[in-house]
Amino acid sequence: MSPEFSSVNIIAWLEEQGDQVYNSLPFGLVKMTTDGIIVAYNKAESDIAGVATENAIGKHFFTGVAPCTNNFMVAEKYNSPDVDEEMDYMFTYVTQPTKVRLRLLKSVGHSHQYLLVKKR
Amino acid sequence: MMNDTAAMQKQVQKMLSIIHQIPVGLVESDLSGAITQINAKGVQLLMPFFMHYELADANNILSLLDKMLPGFAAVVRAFNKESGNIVLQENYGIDLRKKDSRDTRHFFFTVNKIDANSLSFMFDDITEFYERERKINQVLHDQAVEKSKFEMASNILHDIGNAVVGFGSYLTRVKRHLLEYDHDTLINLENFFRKQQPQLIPIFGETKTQALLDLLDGLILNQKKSKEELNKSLGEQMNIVTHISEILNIQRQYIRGQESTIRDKVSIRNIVNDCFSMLMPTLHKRNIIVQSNIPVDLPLIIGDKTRLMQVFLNLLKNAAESIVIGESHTRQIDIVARVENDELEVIIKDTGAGIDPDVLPKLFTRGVTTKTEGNGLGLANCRSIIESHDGRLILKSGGTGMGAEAIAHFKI
Repeated sequence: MSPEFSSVNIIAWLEEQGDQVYNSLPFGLVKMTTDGIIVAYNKAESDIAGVATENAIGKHFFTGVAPCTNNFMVAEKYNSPDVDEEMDYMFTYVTQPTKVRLRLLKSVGHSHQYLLVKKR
Repeated sequence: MMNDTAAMQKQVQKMLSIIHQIPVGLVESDLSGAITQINAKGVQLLMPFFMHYELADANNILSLLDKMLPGFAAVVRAFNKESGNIVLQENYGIDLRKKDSRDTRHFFFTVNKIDANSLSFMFDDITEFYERERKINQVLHDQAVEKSKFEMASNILHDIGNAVVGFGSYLTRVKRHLLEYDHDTLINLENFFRKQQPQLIPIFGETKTQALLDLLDGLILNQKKSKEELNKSLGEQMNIVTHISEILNIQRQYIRGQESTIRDKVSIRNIVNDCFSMLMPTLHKRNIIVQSNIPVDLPLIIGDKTRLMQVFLNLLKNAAESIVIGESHTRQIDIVARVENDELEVIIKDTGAGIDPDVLPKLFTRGVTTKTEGNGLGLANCRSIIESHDGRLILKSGGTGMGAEAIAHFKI
């Protein structure tokens, strides 16, 4: 049974999964290295942001794919070793404002950091 | 085959993607401020403010501007033309609390009314440019102040210099007049009276004639004395004028040195020998012996010849003056130059009055002097000049009456 958007310890579970599971999730998921390079970008996220998965993989998330998050509210929070925070935010689908809820995830001992996204 | 509408739609989509990615915040809203389109940079820049002002909906830019820049939104709302520019590239400072610190961000805004129903906002955070420009302006301002200080000092020195030269030439004229004024006339008169004494006695009587001759004698003696006094005093004044001129010259060179430095390979041997030649008459008059030991093959250093000459002239003069003040039995200056630990070392040692150990550390401070007539600028300038050559100037003395040693080190 797959976890919810706000489930505790979700990061440990996400670390174990692959693209097939990610694409079945009911919320958007961006999996990055701790340097911000995208290693997985699921279908839900692609639908919310309007960016094709193949155009996202390998790029730097905060500067190359979602510059709207490149500020102290989102990107800079990943400078801490541990992050688990939810917030209301806005994405733009091309230039259409899209209200979203974000969950920022990073934890010492895991090799990836995550951004979970769902529409409000 | 793609029809025109589809092609155009594709083109529009492409254009929107470009707009989405451009690194300036862009927002389209209706007249009430409700956001209809926003690009990525727009979100990046505005979201922190929406959160900061607790506008969780983040959907109305005029509501946000009401909080960010009171009065700004009013200007936009008051615009009553069909379309046109409302605000053009205006800069605004906005206070933003970031975590625990307070932070002023600088934004530029351009606002246009596109048509009867929509507004466009263009903006960017220009804090870094603003701060950089502010710093550059500050530096330019400081440089201008510094430059005008030097110019002012230079002008003042120039004016004082002119006045001193004028004063000196008047003194010379007075001295010349004094020399031309011949008291031989009085002596001749006295001789005349003395020769005519036998003829004068019957007229004035013996006592009065003798008194007349005594009076003339007294006059001659008085005049001789006052002429000597005047001459001596004029001589002293001339010395003071020369001294002031020298100080002014050093100061002028020093100020000029702030503006430009001419650096070339120079021979310390030649410089010291030139200084010695310039001071030779003074040293000779004061019965000071100079022993110089400067090897011919001394390495050259990179430096400013004029300024280094000022240094060694000053150090040699100090040594000579110290010998005069100290009334030393042995009146000798030793000049030694040598290579020591990869440095060129020049030592000027005198047998003069020496320096009190309490005064020694303060001697490089401007205004501190041991001389009764000094102004305390010489050594401070010497050190500045030597340091501007990457060198060091050290002063040593065994104490009062023990003579002193000035040691200059230069990198080879």
